[in-house]
Amino acid sequence: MATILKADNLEKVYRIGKVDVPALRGVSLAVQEGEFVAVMGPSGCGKSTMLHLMGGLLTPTKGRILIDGEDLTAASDAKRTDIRRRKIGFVFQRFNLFPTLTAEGNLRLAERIHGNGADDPDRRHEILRMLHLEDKMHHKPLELSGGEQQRVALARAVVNRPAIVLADEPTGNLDSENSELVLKMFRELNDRFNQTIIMITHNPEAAAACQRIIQMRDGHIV
Amino acid sequence: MDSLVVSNIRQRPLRSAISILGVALGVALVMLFTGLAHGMSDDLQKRSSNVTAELIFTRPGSIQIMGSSANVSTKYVPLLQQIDGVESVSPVIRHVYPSGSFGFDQVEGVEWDGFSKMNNIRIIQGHAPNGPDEILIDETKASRKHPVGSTLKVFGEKLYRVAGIYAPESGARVKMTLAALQDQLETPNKCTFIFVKVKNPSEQLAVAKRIDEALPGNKIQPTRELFATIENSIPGLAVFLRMLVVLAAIVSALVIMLAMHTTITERTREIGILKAMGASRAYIIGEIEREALLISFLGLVVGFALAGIAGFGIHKATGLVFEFGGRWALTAAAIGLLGGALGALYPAARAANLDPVNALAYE
Repeated sequence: MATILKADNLEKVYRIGKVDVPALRGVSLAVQEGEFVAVMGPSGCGKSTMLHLMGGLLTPTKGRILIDGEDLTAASDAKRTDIRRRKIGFVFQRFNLFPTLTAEGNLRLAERIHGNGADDPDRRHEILRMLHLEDKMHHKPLELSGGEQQRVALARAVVNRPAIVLADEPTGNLDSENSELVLKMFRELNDRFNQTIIMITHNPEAAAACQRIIQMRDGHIV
Repeated sequence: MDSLVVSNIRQRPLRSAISILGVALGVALVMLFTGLAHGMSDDLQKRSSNVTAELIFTRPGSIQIMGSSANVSTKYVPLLQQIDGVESVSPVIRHVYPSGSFGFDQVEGVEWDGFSKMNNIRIIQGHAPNGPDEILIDETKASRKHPVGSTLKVFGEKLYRVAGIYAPESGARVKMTLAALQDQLETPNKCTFIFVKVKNPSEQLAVAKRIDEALPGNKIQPTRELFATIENSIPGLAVFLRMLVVLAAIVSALVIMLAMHTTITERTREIGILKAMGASRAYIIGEIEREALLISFLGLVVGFALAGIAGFGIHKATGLVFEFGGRWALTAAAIGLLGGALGALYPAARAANLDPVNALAYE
């Protein structure tokens, strides 16, 4: 299996007022293509910072990140945005769907951003079918349950076939039944499309669904 | 509707409506002011074109669009009549007065027989004014519920009886005898100008020269030339219209800027999501600009409709003439769209430069 993500000695220091607050203190990891990895650890240990760095939303204070062979850390802001557009799909704890758009509209927006107006209804419908959302395509987020919203968010993240899906506590706002359903979808995406997934979670049961668990503490991988 | 632009506009109908109205206001103002200026100018010009006298004898400053003065002595009437090449002369007092609602109106005092014969104007109903309390009006004025026999206020509360209706329209819509107006204005033996009809129109310039030599210190000019420059003769009108356009553009830009600025603040989190999805700065700016342009376009449509309705309503209520020109419509459209696009540029750039992590954490 090829290495799809490689992080070398990542450090991230936030400047808050006149105080430097280290969030990551030299993190290195490699994720293989098709892996489903959980990142666990207590609040404030640097999980989200690491996810944001891997997604190119933040730049590290030190270290290097390679995504599918492309160096995120050496890239300009515009280049990082481009890599994110082509290689990354995000899933957030709070779903982060566009409330004014339907489920399908949210997917089409992702397609438009990805492909300069590209429209692939077959792919869209395949994903929505797989996530059991066919009958919810024309519903707006507020007309959907939390579990359904998160499945739409997941569909939006994978509709453009990203190299990596980065999920930030995707079951954090869901009850156990919906959590299980969403995790099942993650597993299915991983199995069926060999989708690489890195998922932050506090939930040991969610982590148990992954092939590998990375534990973090105080800005380190332990 | 899966367009982010359209769905955003529809999601906040009140704010969208206010933004659209803001742009519409600027557009409507431009259309109304320019429409009024051109309409009134063209109306005056049309009425003046029915004057067949080739020359106007007057004194500098006596004829203006927004006012006039009776500073020409009628002693010039027989003197003009004696000049070689002059066929006939007709003194006129033109008095401009507030119309009582919006704008201004005019009344002319003429010696009806000479004036009507000189300019081929005839009475189509009723008779010429016989006394100081009688007036003649044109067909447009008559159509505003002023039939022969009805009364009209011209000066203050004083009522004048409509003695007759004349055609074609020529100069002021209301005419009375020269003596009556002189008496009313307390300007005996004075008038505003004297129409001069020449025997041979092709020699009008030569006649004008002779008049100028015989009666120096006055002003003699071709009638056509005077009326062709009516719009230009209104002091600062062109500057006023240009300033109005600039102000309308600024209003449109500010309205859009404020609306889009509010939008960006409200949608900070959504912009963070767009950035997380890989939307480039150009894409984000493009989305916001498209929304601003759509609002501006709707504002244009509403503005044109408002201008049309307001122009029609004002015309019905006051008789003021509006003429909506294509050039000014294009100008209004350009300032509406350009103002909207420029107004949205700063909020759009601000949105494009938001930090994605902070934007995603925005509550």
